Amino acid sequence: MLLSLLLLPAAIFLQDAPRPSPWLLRPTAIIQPDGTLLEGHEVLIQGDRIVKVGVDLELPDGTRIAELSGVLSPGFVDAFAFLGPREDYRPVTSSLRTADARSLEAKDLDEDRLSVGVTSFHLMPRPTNVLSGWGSLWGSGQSEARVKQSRASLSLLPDRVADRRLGPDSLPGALEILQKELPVIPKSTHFLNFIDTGEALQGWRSLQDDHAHHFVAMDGIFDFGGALANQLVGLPTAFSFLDARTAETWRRLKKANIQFAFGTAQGSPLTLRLAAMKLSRATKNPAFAMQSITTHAAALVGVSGIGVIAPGAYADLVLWSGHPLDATSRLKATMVSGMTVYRANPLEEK
Amino acid sequence: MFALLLPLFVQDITILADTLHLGTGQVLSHAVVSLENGKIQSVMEGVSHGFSKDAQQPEGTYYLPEAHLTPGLVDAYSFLGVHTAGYTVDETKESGAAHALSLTADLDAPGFLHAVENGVTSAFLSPDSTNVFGGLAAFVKTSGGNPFNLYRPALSAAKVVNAAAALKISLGLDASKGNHSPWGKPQDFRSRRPTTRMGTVWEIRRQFYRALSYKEERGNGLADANADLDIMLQVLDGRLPLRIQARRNNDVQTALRLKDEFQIPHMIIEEGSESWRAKELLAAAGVPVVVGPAYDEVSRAVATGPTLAELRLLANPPAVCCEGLEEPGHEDHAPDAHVVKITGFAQDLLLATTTPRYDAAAGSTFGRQAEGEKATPATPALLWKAGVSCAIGSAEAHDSALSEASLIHQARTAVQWGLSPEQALVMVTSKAAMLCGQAKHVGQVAAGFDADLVLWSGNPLVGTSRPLLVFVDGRLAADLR
Repeated sequence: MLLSLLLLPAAIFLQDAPRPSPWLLRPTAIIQPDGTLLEGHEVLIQGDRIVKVGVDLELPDGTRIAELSGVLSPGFVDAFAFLGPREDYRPVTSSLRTADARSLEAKDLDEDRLSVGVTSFHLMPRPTNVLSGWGSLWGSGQSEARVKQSRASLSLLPDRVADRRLGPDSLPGALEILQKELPVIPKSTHFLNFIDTGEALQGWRSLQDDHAHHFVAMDGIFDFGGALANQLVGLPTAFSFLDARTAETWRRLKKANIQFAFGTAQGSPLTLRLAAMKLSRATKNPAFAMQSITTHAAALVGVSGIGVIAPGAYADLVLWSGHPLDATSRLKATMVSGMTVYRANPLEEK
Repeated sequence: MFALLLPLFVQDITILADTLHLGTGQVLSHAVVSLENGKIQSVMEGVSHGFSKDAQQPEGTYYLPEAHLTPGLVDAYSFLGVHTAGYTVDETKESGAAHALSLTADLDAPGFLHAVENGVTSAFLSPDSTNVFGGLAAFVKTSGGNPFNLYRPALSAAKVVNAAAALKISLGLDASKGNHSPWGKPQDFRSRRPTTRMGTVWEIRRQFYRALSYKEERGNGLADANADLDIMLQVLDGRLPLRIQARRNNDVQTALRLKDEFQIPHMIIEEGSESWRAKELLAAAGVPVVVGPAYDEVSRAVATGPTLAELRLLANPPAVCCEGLEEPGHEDHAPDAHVVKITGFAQDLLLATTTPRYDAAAGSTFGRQAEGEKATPATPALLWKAGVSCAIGSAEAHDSALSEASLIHQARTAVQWGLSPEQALVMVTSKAAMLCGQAKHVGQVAAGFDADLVLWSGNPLVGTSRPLLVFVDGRLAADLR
């Protein structure tokens, strides 16, 4: 096991140099988001991308081979993590961008992310304004090379947008502001719409706005999940609403063909995998849970090439000692954009 | 579950009733009511049938011996789904006339289930009174909508029938709650008028004058569209009724002055705790009242007005002037010496500890304790005798699962305080429907009306009767047999 770690790509030591030579990864198995377990498959990566996935791949010249003992999964995607600072000067701050705010050297939290398999995270402004600004997608531990502007943030959380100096202080006030502001927002804008009540959903529908949007149910989804059938919905992993019937609520949501995309919101990156594990237990469907932190999360962010192991996707891979949603499995190493940026302490891996 | 919601199959139904209250005050016996496509198709009287209690009845036919059939009750003034939805009124400004309550009310609140179980099939949802202009009230059926909540049965949510049933305005102190003068406090949007009863009326006048000049400017193409002022113009043109919450006698009279000043064609007083004191003025102006709850029990001792004995005295004044009147302080001869009156701090304490429904209310009950000292459960009787058009509303009573405060209970209370049973039933059915602008659709058992019906175990105005079957739009919404 120690040997396999030593054989991992050494690219981490060559971060700044161009990496022309491809690597072939030979894990014990590959787990795809849809639940399929591919045994004996190989992954060929070049630069920051996956080139091929299959059996007995034809190797270009100079390919180096890494034998990996463990299960390789796609890196997890955190569908929404809130940026610390907030700009509360006005209820509408639609031109703010989280990409402008994050220090590129702020790697502390990224270390936490990598240690639990989160390779991409979607940084959203805190939903404390009715229109809070634009989010951005980041690769964990990466420089600006992968930063992409993503969704705009729209919030109908009356308690959070309430402002006793300027207004609005309730849902009708927030709706009135949207009625004025939405027509001047470019049609190409795609919103993440943060809600926590059925009334917010009802009010939003009454606006008859045709901007593309996904709902993020910050709380109380049991109270309005019935109206979101067949949709992709964001859910926070910080379980302020975790109660005795959360598992049953999740089963009912799945029955209504609602797809989950988990985001950590203000919570720790660790909660992402924990939420997926809990969802897997509740629905007895590991694939459904796996999608909630990979492909569905990527769909909520609107970015392709993350959360999958497929040709053309970013080489964001995580090596586990077993199935990633098995509580006894441990993370062995994390690769982002073709570079091994995290390795579990070999001493702990005995 | 969701596949079930889509095809709404309404079965044709026949109901046989030994006693049928039409909702207009008329009573038929041995009646047959047939329902089709959610409407009442026909009503026949004096039909003899061979059904007995034990006989097997055909599918879609309902006969319960001794049962009374009435129209579904219409709650003409309710906060169903309003207080449970958090703050439904935005306090940024006092004049949110265009805010529609139908959008922000909690239409699958448990209160609607309680309402159905107590025979209420449609309700007027009134915006809370924390703003001078509370916005657009909604008229809903209490059942038949698809709930958003994952745990509610299908079709158990309320269904909006009219999203703009009236514009709600509040007089009195409710609306000034929270506002403050600009001195001594940090500046915010609460540094504004009104902070007094006078200020509330000033705000109403200001907005209506704004609406009038807006109309002129709009005609000349000088003003941009303003949703709030458009709503007020609808009120001034008589296209939209005005609901005006007024509890104290002077507030009721202020409302009548505003009606004269702005020539408002369609005004309805809401709550009207002391409206009986202005009953002659109301009758002369032709302004109807939807009376709110005035409980008569010690634990909900909101009504501290005249007692039954005092009212009898008022109704039959002694022939000789001053003979029956006592001097103040004559405890021995006080007409209500046997009645324990709880007032002041004790009343506040009692209300705070014994009645959870008051905690939920944001603005409506804030003033109910402070305003309307002369409130009495006899208000409907007094208004009716004076010729004032009147209905009864339950306010927030159905938020609680207790049926003792429900709408029919309030009608029963009104009967105990002097109203005739026929009129009491009219006030929670056809008259209520009329004051909600739904006179042609609900509140009566007649061909062409919505098939909203309640089969009671006995005369609904008798305290021991309870609903057995409740139909909303021809669908059996509650089976409580």
